[in-house]
Amino acid sequence: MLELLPQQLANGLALGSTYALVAMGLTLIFGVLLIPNFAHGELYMLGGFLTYAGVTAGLDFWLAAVLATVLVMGLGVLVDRITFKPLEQASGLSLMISALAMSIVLQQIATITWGTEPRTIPNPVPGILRTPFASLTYHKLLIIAVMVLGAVGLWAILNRTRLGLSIRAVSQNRDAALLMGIEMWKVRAATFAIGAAFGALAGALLGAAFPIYPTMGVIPVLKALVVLVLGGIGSIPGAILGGLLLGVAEVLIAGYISSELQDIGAFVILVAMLLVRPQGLFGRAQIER
Amino acid sequence: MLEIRDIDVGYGGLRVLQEFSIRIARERPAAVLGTNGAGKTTLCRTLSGLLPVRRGQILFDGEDVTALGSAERVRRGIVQVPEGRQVFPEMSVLDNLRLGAFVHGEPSREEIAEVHALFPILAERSRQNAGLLSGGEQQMLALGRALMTRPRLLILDEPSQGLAPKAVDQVGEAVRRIAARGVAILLVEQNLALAEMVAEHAFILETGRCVRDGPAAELLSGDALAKSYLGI
Ligand SMILES: Nc1ncnc2c1ncn2[C@@H]1O[C@H](COP(=O)(O)OP(=O)(O)OP(=O)(O)O)[C@@H](O)[C@H]1O
Ligand SMILES: [Mg+2]
Repeated sequence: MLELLPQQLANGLALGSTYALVAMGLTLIFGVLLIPNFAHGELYMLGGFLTYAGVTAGLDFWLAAVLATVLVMGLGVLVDRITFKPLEQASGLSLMISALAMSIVLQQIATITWGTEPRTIPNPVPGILRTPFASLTYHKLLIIAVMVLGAVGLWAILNRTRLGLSIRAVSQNRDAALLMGIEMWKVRAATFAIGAAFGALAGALLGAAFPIYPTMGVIPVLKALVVLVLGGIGSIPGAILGGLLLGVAEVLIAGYISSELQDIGAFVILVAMLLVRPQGLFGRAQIER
Repeated sequence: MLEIRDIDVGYGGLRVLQEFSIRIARERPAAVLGTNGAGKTTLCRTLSGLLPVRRGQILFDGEDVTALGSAERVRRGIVQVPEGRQVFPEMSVLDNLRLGAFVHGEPSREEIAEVHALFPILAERSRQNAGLLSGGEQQMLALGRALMTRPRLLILDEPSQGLAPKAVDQVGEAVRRIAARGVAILLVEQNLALAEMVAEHAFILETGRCVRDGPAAELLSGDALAKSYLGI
């Protein structure tokens, strides 16, 4: 059994990278704007579908994925305008209900456009990398690489640009940020665009190996919520580490206990985390805002 | 410099400022004094464009700024040191200063050096997170950050709150030096000591109305009437 461990860890890291990609977008938007964007899963789904549309229209996969991501970034900004901006003074519950409504609307739009039948995109990177310890498909390696690049890129935007400075300011103290002359609409648009980009990229990449269908975003968002609790809500390093942790844990549970327990395992870990360290790995003990 | 004409401001059904009017001149640093809940913070937030007025006008340098957003007001030089200092706790002292200069782009070395000269503690703690500073140090940072914004009118919302008398003196000294550079001052306070140090003109705010105003020296020193208004 144990000789399978390196292979399972590798599979877990690949799976965890997809969770981390989705979770980074969700946690960024929540951490900065305190908005629970459950429609994130639908942005992920549209990343997949738009890439599919590009590929069927004859575009190269990479070009299609980039175009899809850019389109979904714009869509993310639009989602904010329609779903959350009008509720600026409302409670968190209203935001959640509005987000769920937007999820359903986007799922319906996808259903009307593409139908419910799962679609597939030919894998742009076929083949397997074999090493003495583990073998990984190039597709999984690609996902891990994109997750790492995305994380580095996000770090650079947040810590090395003026836009990032203003985003961090809003996340730490919105009123003070306004008093600095930071324009909220710019920060909102940028945060939603960046968050949506993570969702869309994940959808485009996953769509190259798994079926694409209108409700494909539901489970990833639930998993991303678990990741957020694991890593600490609003924390980017937490989203990455929490995602990888969840991926590895799921693969190990499926491998060593039972594959039927894989999804339950995620929630067992969630409950255990809430009992032991409710603020998550990287969460602050408590922030009242 | 600043003229507030008959403004009404409130929250939902609650009217906080009612037909509130004051005028402030650049050469005469002003204080607005009021007890807890009088509407001081409401006034400051309204001036910075964080709260809408329901009626009335705000004129700044003769121009109507009532409808302008917060960012545009900052660009025009209406700058506030908010209640409770509101520094960015998980950013370095230096990044806090950079944010102060946000509307003007990246600050120059000279600008930062100027603020460091006024508040040496900020130079010492430049790389440290602002959340780790003491209350008095955070107040210096909030003042330094506001200076980076190049204020023409500096609004201070209870800067003495939670500070020891010695730190209050330091704040007063700093505000006086800022005023001496030609920045108009609107100090909103409960603490008479700081107002006495800084202000030449004083307004008494009571349940949302300006009930009295006059030269600070007359209104504040030993005047039983002012003290009774303030309930101290
Ligand atoms: N966000 C809000 N929603 C509803 N009511 C508010 C809000 N903020 C303030 N108030 C009310 O408005 C009134 C004035 O509040 P404000 O904060 O302006 O007083 P203040 O003079 O700054 O008091 P303090 O000295 O305690 O800071 C109070 O009665 C307060 O309860
Ligand atoms: Mg107040």
